[in-house]
Amino acid sequence: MQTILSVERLRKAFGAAEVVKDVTFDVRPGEIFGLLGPNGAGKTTTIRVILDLFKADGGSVSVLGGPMTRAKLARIGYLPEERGLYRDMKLEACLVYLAQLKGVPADVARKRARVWFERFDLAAHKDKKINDLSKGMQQKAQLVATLLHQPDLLIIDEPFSGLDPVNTRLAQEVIQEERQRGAALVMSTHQMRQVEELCDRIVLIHAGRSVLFGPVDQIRREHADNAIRITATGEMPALPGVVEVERKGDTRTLHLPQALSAQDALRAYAAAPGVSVEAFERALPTMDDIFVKVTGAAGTGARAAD
Amino acid sequence: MLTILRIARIEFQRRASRRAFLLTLLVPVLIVGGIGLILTVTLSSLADAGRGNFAVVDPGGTLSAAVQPGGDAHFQRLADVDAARRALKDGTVKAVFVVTAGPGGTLNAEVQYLDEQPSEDVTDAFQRFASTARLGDLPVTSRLRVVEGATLHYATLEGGRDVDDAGLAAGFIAPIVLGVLFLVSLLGSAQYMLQSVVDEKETRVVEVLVTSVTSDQLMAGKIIGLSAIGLTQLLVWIGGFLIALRVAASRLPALQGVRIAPEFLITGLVLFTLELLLFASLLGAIGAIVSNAKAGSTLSTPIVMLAVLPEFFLPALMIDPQGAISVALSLFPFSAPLALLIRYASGSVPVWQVLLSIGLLIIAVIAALWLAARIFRYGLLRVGQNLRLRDVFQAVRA
Repeated sequence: MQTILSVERLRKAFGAAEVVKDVTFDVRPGEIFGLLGPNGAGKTTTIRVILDLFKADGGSVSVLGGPMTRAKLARIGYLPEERGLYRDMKLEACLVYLAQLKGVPADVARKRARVWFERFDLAAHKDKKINDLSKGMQQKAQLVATLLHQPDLLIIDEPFSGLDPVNTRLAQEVIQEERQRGAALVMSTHQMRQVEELCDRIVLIHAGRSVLFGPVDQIRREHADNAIRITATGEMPALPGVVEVERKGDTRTLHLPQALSAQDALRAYAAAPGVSVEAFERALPTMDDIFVKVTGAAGTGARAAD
Repeated sequence: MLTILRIARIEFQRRASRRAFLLTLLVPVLIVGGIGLILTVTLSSLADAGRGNFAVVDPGGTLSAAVQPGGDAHFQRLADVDAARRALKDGTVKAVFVVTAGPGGTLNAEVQYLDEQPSEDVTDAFQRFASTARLGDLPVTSRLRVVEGATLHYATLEGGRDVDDAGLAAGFIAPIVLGVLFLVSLLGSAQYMLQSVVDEKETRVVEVLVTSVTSDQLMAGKIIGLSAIGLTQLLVWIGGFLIALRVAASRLPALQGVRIAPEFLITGLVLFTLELLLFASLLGAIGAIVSNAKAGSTLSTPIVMLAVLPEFFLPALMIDPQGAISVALSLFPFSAPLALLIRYASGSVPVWQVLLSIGLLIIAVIAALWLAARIFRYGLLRVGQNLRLRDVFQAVRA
């Protein structure tokens, strides 16, 4: 299958500290790809190697069909985690300048910026210094800066940082629109709900290694215990070995013993007198659960260089 | 190239649009202007003391009657002491010189005045008159020549500029003032460069920038933009200084001897532009290897001191402008501009030394750019950590 970005067995060390030990994943055109991992796992270093800011010590990176070139950099949009704009410059001037450096003529950049400003509710602030904008506004401005040159590949680090729910929703919409436009997005985030809602596939990096890679749904199924979620009224019969893990109103999450399949459980409950099953599904773990399970306690790993 | 100029323009605009920059631009001009104004007023009121009418009374006929007193001060002969006192009281004259013969053919003069003691200009004029008048028997032109003595001209064997007596003192002012202005502007711009690179690292703008331009382009743009800031500052200050000088000279004859030769100004600007580029490159490199401005100034202070070095050797440079120390400081790229200025102020600098100095400075700038480009590439993205010297050396060798 065609890939827009492919990272294979990547290694990168700073002196004695091996920050990236073995990272492999690929990103396909038109997909939203999650780059996940605890703090210090090596995500930022991986991004920087992809962007050719650092040279890899081993492995290979292929971007837009080959090694990184200056021309390709102009087709990439990068949003670093927080900040990344000149704080003493006026909003519009700064964004137009950054777009110019990417090869967009000033008038085109200005026209595009104004459309985005309207959408992100920044129009009234375009002549303010970035320093005078709120944190949320700065984050929106940062996102606009990433989009002005209409890149083919977007690498966005914590795009929802500092955004309220309304603006988070807006940013989500924009990210999905970018995918529809044909761009591929690599999104690094700690917000697992966003990963479930947006990402097609993910890679999970832990202590410098890619430990999980694949479609989100598949990963969730693979990590599912033998558990079900059932919404039912009436007196539920007790089945041997079944443990109730959680209950919210009429919805129960039940852990099943090895010998009992989900299908058997459904039949047993549906056949029980006086019980009316309204909803039934396999209980898939959240990405949050999987993240914690795979990486151990969150926040472990070396802090260096991330 | 377009990208570099674009970066340079933004760097320039970002600095130039700050209120602080406007202040640094204007404050020295205002201070120099203010000091100039005070000096001009004080000095010209001193000069006023030399103007007006003065009287000479010679009751014994000691001085030749054929010689009339001259000079800037107006002297008139009065018949006797009483007439002179009257003239003094009603204000027609400011002072009276009463001449009497002393023992052994010497001459005494009592200076009588009301409230303002005659200035040196007036007493000098009187002395010239008294000397001339005592050579009564010689023809007028001969008498004048005797009193005049010789006019001294200064020149060096190596060539260079010639100065005469009046120009020597006055010629000091321009190079010294320009030297101070340059030093302030150089240190300011170097500090801007350091701050600018450290800021970009801290705000992570640099990560966005180097995904659009190369680190070499970024560095070159910054060096050009911030050197242009330094040069703008310097030109505004020099302009202010020249205007102040002209205004002051119109009131103070002593300053009329201060001339700034165009070739001196051009050589100075070439030297300073090169020096600006040298320092901007090195401080940019330092900015790339430190994590905050404070660590940066610790590292940059020794380099900055090199530019100030000639100030420590000021006596050597002024007393012995052709000595080994003076020549060494003029050829050492870091100290060359200021050393050459001070030597120029003290006399002359051989042309070959100026040319060699410019040549060495150009080589130093190229070396600094090369070094800075390597360190820049390596250190730019190391956020939050100072690089170890060993790593920096490795980066340079790589």
